[in-house]
Amino acid sequence: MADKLHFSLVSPERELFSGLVDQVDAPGSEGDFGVLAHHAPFMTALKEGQVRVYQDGKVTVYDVRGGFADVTPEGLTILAEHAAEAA
Amino acid sequence: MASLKEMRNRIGSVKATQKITKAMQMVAAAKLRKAQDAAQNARPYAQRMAAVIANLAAGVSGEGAPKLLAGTGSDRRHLVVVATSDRGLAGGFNSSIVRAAREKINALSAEGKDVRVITIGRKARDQLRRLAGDRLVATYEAGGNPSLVVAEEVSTKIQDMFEAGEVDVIHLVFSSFKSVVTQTPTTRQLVPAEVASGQAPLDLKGAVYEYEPGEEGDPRDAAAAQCHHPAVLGHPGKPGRLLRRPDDGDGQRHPQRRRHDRQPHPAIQPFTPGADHQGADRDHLRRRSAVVTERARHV
Repeated sequence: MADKLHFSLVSPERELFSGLVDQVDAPGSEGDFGVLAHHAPFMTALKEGQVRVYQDGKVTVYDVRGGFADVTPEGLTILAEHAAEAA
Repeated sequence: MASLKEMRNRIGSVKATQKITKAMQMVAAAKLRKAQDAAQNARPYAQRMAAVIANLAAGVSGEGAPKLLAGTGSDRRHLVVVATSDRGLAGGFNSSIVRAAREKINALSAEGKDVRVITIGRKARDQLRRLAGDRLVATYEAGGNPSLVVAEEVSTKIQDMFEAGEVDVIHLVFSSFKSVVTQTPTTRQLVPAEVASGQAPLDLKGAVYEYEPGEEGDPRDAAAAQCHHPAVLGHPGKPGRLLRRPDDGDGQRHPQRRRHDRQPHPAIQPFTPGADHQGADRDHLRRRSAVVTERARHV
């Protein structure tokens, strides 16, 4: 089993997701990107789009608008100005 | 000696009042819980944002550093942003914030600094108006349900002032929410960003932080800009709302409260996802009927 990435998605209203996942795809302002465990530290602004969270073969999709993503050795944190689980 | 009939009437009247106040208390409790949840749900964002800002601030230095993080290099012009609630009857909630703000303003003035004041909430505006005088540059009202919309307005105003070079250092005075009965008036410096002492810089294990987009439109600016959301810093508005009406259950009728209640029935407002629909609670309070009790039971 591959290593897991710690991911949290937080909006000003609440924390939408926090936990260990396999992969996260996010809409960076300079292009979409995917993050796996042990990603190099990096920070980017986000554009409006969808964040896809891959966890144990399941995919959860969130709509996000504004904010930024921060990849550190501890994991990926997305601080979105607006976020909601996609219908 | 009161007659038996008078006694009976009195008993009936007291019982009716009891029912009403009980219902009001349940509604107040439900609202309190809602506000408390909102305050606590906002906490992860505030904490993570603070961590990101601290991390960024620790990493920046020199000429190219974003000014919102590193400051303008000057320490002459100070802006004090004070966040209180709109209404009183909340114990020492507002007055303790205002006292902290007053001390800050007086201390800065005594040092010969140029001080400007922005207030959020009517209480701060009313109580600081005389002290601040023409140094009061803007006032905002949080409204019954403080939302990020107000925060964004304030944030935009502050950023405009900063970019126009009107201020060098920005302080925020607000109440940090510990519990329903405990809030601590807190003064925090927003610009330049403070690095919390004792916080170890993030260990990147030899890797280099990459920023996207690069030079211009630096996400660090976006980060620093977000930092100005008063909401980010522990949601000062939320506890204010939470505590403004602690004695709703006391059965007293507070004129200023009812004045605030005059608004269109929420049922006739179109539903918009994400919009605030808590006004519905307030309307229920007014009706004071069995419906109230029923609703409170469900919340």
